[in-house]
Amino acid sequence: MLSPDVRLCPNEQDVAAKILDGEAIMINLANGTYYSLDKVGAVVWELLDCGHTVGQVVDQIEQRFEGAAGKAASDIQDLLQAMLEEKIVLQTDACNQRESDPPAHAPPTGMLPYQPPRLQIYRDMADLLALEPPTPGAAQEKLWGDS
Amino acid sequence: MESRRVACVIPTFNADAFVAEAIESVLVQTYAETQIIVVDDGSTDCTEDVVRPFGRKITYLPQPHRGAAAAKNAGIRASRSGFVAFLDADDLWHPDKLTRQMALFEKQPGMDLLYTDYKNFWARGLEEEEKEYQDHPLSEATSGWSISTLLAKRSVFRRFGFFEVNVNERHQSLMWALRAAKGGAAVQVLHDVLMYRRLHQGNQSRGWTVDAEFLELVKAWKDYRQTRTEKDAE
Repeated sequence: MLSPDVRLCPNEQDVAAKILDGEAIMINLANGTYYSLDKVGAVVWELLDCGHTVGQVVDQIEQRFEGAAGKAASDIQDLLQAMLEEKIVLQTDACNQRESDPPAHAPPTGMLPYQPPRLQIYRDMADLLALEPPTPGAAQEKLWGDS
Repeated sequence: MESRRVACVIPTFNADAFVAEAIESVLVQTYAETQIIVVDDGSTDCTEDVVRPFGRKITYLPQPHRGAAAAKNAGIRASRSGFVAFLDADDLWHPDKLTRQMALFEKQPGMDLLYTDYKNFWARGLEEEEKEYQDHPLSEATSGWSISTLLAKRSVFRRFGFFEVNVNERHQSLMWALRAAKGGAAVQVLHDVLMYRRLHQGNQSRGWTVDAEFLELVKAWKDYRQTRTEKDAE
């Protein structure tokens, strides 16, 4: 159980990520696994990236999504545990030492229906890297891992 | 009904060390009905000297440097065939590549794009690197949508458009294929190793890093797979 005061950091060393059409697309370069986070999950990712604590993330989700109150806290705990296990985010001292205040978010113009955030894991998409395959080099070694 | 002829488009840019071998690997195909189109994308090396001696066995199309997508498009426009295949100038085909692919098209006429598996090989001078990667995925047969394995019905370019120019060269072939696939093109991969991809010091993808465009491709690929899975389940 993560304390509400904890901050988790995106694993910037190994994970490349981008929000596309409200969905977070990520690659863990250390093991070549791909991930996606749906709409609520993508917002969670953005909030973590901005330096929000676990408690602040839950508050934001409850404010932004209709029907999230009472469900989001538990769902987000599960999501963050999964993200920690996959090493997409890290819990280190450095995360809690981040001094930057999270930016103030504009109030939502209309609440979207809440869906429990899901981390989709694609371990069978290694071929994708082979579509336009990297050749040996430092970056490539990271992409393929050491298996 | 498409003509059974296959146009083999070889886009090349400053690959005089390799392009002759690529052409030879098409000339020795066991499939006879071929047209070889070498599109020289403004090479400044000895490409023309290497290619001209092939004479009438090939069609040589020199053009100002416009990039790989424009070169492939020029090759498609010059083709007089029912099918089009592509071979990067530094890669090689297995002699039976077109025979095996066309046999599958014969069995499955509804198919539009057919890729195959391939293996990497190391150019002379990179023996150390080859040794280093001998137990690595880079040394194993690979299944993917690599352009040098593609055999496509020529009609797919009319249906889904040509390769987009002015996009990242590393991704343009895949972007085109995904556009076609999402538009309804039937895509398959033949799991035989029928292409050999040469690793050398000049590979465009050497030093490859993930960029924003690649992540966009990942999403497009994921969405395509999801749609395909849903359709298969219906």
